[in-house]
Amino acid sequence: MIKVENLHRHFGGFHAVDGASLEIREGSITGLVGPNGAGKTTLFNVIAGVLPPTSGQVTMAGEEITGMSPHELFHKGLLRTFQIAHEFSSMTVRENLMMVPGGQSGETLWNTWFGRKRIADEERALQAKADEVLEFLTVDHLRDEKAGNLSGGQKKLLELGRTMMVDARIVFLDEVGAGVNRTLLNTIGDAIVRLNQERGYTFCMIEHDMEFIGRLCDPVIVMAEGRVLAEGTIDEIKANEQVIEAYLGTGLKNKGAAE
Amino acid sequence: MRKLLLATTAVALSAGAVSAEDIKIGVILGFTGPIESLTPQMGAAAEMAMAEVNASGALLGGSTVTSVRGDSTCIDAGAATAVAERLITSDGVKGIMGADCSGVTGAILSNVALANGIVMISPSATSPALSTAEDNGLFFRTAPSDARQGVVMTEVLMEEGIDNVAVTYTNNDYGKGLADSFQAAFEAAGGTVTINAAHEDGKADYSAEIGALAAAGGDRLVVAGYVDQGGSGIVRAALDSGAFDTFHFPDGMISAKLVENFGSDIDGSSGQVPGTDSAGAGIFAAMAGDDFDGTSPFAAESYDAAALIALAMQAAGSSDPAAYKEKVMEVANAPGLKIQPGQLGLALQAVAAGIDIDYEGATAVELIGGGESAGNYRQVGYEGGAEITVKYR
Amino acid sequence: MIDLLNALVVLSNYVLIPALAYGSQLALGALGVTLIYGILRFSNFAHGDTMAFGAMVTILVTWLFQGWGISLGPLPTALLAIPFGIAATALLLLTTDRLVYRFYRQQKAAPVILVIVSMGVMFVMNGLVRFIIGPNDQRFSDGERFIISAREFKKLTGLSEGLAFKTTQGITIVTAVIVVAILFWFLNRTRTGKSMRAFSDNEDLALLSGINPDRVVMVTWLIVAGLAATAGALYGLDKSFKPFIYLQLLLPIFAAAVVGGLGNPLGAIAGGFVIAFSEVLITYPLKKVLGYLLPDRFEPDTLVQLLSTDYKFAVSFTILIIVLLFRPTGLFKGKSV
Repeated sequence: MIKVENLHRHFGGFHAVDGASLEIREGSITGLVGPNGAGKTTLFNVIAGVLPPTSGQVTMAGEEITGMSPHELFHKGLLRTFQIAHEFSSMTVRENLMMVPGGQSGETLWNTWFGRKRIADEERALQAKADEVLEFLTVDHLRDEKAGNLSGGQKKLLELGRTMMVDARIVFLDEVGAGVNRTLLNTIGDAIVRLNQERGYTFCMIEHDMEFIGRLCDPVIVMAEGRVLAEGTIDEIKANEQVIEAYLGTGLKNKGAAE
Repeated sequence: MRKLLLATTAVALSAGAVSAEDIKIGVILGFTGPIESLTPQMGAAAEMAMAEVNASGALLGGSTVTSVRGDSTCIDAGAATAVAERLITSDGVKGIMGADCSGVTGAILSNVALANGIVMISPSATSPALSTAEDNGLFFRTAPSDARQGVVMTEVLMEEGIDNVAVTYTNNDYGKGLADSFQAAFEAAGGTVTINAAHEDGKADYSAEIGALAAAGGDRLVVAGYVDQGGSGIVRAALDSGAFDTFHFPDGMISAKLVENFGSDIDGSSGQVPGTDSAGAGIFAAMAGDDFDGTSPFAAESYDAAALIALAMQAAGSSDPAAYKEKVMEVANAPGLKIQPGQLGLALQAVAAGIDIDYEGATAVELIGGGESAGNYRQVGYEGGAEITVKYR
Repeated sequence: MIDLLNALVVLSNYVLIPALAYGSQLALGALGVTLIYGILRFSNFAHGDTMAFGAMVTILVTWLFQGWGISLGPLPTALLAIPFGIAATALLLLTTDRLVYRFYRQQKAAPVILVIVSMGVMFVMNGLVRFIIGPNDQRFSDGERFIISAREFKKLTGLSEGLAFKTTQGITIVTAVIVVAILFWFLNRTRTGKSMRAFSDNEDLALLSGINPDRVVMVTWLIVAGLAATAGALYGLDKSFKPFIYLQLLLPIFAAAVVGGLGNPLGAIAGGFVIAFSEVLITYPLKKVLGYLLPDRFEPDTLVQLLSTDYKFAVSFTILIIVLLFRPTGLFKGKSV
């Protein structure tokens, strides 16, 4: 689905992503883990078009998408969420969702004045869809709440909901579980699995919660120092010497061995 | 005519008595600088007077006067002082026709003329400060002080029965000087100035200024501004808000543009502008002919300044400044034989014959106070959307 | 009772009506500034001269119409010419964006760089306007000058104070209300408007929601052109047109936008009126008003003027500084400056 080849992204002398190559299989829920500073979020940003790569190539289903802008990628079905949830704070939850599908006829000035009927029909359909999404996420009671007033976890759900407003093909989730309580985390986890199975979304998620990763993801890709270190099932990863070393550092491992 | 004949004979007789000399007179004007478009006409007018004197051959037993030009720059006091110094010490001028702008005139007067005892007659310095400057009786001007207009304005308004006015002036030396001198004169004459407020030129909206003026009140609004600048804006805002119906306009406002802008809206307003109905101005302009523009500002005053120097010398019988400085006021003012431009030869002969003269010249010269022109003003009024001349004063 | 009415009339004549008209002009200007700040994320110093440009084109077209003998009867011909002013301004702004701002946007230049760039644009536009129409005052109003003039009012009511209501003041206020109503309907009820709000709210998210930034930017410039040309033409019509005036107008306009909260359209309108009323009221001498209201023996001798009219601009400055010190996000919550 997504293929990353020898990707570099440098910030001055700092090589945040330093020759990463990986592949995200269609229909998978791929986990992306690694210690802080491993380059996971930078990798996301480059794939999602927020940052241009220094060098390297990204393809989506065989088509090169390197350096495309976020709104172009959106129309190809590539979506992402943010580590710290983003929302249009002055709009209601439903309005937030209804913002999503691009290319609505109301977006041209001409239609604003002369295509009222068409816009009204479209709005009605969007509204129905937004309500359906909210129901799916079991948060329909928040429908008319201003998005700025939501809790951190609810905002994450809203982010997920946003990806459901269009037929996404692949969704990048950046620490969707961070700072979210257990109950809400389970709701999010369930939603991800259902979206994957029922609608065939491919997911790639950065996550620190190993239990959450273990429940959802296969395969899991481990990054360290801007490169891919290992790839496999969660059990394989947990047993991987190199991964333990990268996480704990050499000193700690030796210390552990001595004990 | 009998007197004149007598005079002619007298001159002929006395010709041998005083030895003829070549008297140099400095013409110090800003030939470069902000008023360089006016100074060529001013210089030419002064030199025309000198040529007329020379042609008559009547000055001090056939003496001649020669012009020595110097550049005052109008603004650079240092340069002007240096020029005057050179003219006096190396060229040996016996009098100075100049300078032009008030600042450099004051500088030359205090730094050079006073020290060397040289007479200066300025055709165009109008600052009220020069009236009180220390001059040992050496400084005169054929232009009125700006303070004079305040007095004339007061007379005009008082005659119309207005004794309660609001004043607004353009925020610069001209506006402030005029407004202050008017306020002083008006209050001395028993009038009341309810407010004396500045306005900035170049604003789009003067409703706030008019608000303040209206709050203070007054029978008439005195607008000491410029017709092309804030003055018209003030009038427009005052008319729009109904704050004032009639106005008084000093010289900066009087122009065809004012009538064009407001038409009959300003009917009943008054004003005054420098101007004279004396025959001298016309004669002078005709004499200038094609040589230069005789109606150019301060050209007539320059002619008069140069003429007064020569006439005073004649009256004193000497080209020594210390002697002839006493005679300047005498030849300029009544009583005596009225002298128009072009009659300098006649005047010189009359003076030589001991006949008193009253030099009118091109600007109806009358020197008042410490030796400055009383100025002549045309009082205007507005009727039926047109400007009319009420009278000359 | 009559005294009370007279006091009210004086206050309306010198404070309420002028401030209402001036406030409407400032509000329209501040709306443009605030939209650009919200969506393009920089303070546009060229806004004053954009207004001057719009007003200039309006004037030129007005003269053309007057030459052809087209008129609106009692209304100023300029109203017919404003659409042309808007169109020309839109063209100018889109060209400027294409030639200048787009480059810096693509570079993801810091807002302060864009501010400096806009100052450059300001000088160019100012030069352009002065080159085309000259630096002098231009008057282009025609038609009926007053809805009611001071003299008529006095005759009509028998009061000793007059109340003048100029046609241009009436037009300014009415136009401002209409324009603001349309703008708010547009921003809150239409998809394009919502895209703009979304873009202003959270640019990253807007991009990731598939909103086309180029279209949002273009629409923003078009709306700003409409606001600027209308505000500029109304100001010129009500007061007088002079290119440099618009440069000076920049201060109260920015003060209005900041006071209301940059990026917040509602705030821009409120800010416009706050600034206008403060400027007019603080420099207005209350002598006459108090004279009517107070018993004779309390009648003030002085003008009761808080600040001389020369310091009118100081009022905007002071309000601006106070707001920045104590409430940087403005009265209505905008973006922090």
